[in-house]
Amino acid sequence: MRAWIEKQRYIIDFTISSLLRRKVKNFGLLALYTLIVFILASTMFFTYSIKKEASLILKGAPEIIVQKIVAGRHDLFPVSYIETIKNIRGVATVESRLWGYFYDSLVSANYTLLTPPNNADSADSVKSSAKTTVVESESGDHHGTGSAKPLFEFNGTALEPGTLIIGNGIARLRNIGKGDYMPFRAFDGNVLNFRIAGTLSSQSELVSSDLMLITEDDYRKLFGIDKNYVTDVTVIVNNPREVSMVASKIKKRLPEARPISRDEILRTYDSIFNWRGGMMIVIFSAAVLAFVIFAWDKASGLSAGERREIGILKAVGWETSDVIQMKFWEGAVVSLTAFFSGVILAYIHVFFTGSIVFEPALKGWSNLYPNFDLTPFVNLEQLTTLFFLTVVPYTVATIVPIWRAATIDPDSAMRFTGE
Amino acid sequence: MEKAAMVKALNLTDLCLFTEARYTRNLSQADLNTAFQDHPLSLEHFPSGSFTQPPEGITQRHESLD
Repeated sequence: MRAWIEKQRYIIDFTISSLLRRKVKNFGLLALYTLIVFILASTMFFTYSIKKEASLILKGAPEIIVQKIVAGRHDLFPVSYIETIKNIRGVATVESRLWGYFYDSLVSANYTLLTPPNNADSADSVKSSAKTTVVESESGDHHGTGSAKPLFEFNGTALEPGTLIIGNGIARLRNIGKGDYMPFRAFDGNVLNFRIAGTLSSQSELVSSDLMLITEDDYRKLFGIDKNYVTDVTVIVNNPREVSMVASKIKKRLPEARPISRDEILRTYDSIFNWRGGMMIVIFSAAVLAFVIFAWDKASGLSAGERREIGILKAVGWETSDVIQMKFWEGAVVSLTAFFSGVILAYIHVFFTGSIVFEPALKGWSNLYPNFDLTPFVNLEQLTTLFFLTVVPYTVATIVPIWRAATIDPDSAMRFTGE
Repeated sequence: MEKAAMVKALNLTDLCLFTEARYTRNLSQADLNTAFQDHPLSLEHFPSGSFTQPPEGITQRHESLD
């Protein structure tokens, strides 16, 4: 056994020095190989972490959201519909949501304006006595935040009329912060000036970068939305197994409503960055194509110099199996180095530099892009697949032509000239 | 986890990944014809559309709610 290990050591030694003899060619090869692994591994790390993070973060999303659809588009949801939904058996609570988008032409960015739940409730507060009881009895389960304490205190500052709490992305983009004022042109052309009461933390940017928390009255003043309408409603169901049943009952009673369950939200994010998605298939097909060309080049033959080297080795007493072992180690050294450096670089790229290579593509045309650090989640199954798709074919591809060359007579192998 | 707490407290539904269009900001809330939002033959033209897929509820339904 010891002798075998020693022999392999000598062969590896020889292989490395022979690789170093053709520095430019081999380093070029290594760089290209590393690049392919890097791109593939970065894509894998990024998409897997986003999906994983989305599934953890969005677990707390509303069980059912009900929108009103008119002619295929969202429409404001009449407050009167809330009672209809509440009357459905199995529904625990119905809460209204007020949210919308605001395009800031100054920086060409879209903001998401949102009224925190406690604020939006006042539209149906008249009939909320029954609801409050339910919320309290259910508070442990669904709304750990409870309804008594103000939800949106930020550094001790509560959200008051005339104030905003803004996401960190907006603060960065507009270069504003607590105490500054932000003017908005309302629906009727009037300019409303809001004071910034605080900013949301930078850790939460993945969900809150473009958020603006605003009070209900200010929201209605800004967009001219009547008290009888909200954007949509969230429904909490007593028994989580009845969600789809309740959703179909809502659809039956309110035919123009569109219920979206939490499960659908989670599945939407599970299929985000799916490999079938346009850009993903471009990345994968380019990388796979590059790799195929690469392996083909290796498999299709040896240079005259390599052939002569094999001839000399055989002439000085190497056996065919030794030559094949040497070439196996050559393939293994190159592909393992490329694989590990590619994977390590990809890990640094995705989890420490915020996917700087992908950023321009991910940003698209948006000016407001969240700066977020992904929690490192690594899928071993994917890494193993990447290993078997890159290292194994490459190593095998290097062995086949060597075997062909190593079985011919050393004399005729050495006669190959013209390098 | 702060982000999860915020989602729960604010009743949020989506990640803030692409802010360029309303249907990419809130992917799961996109309505049924956002791809043709400007006029009937206007195809989806935001770059982030090439990373994402339509909301799951539109393409694959659990069951038909109609």
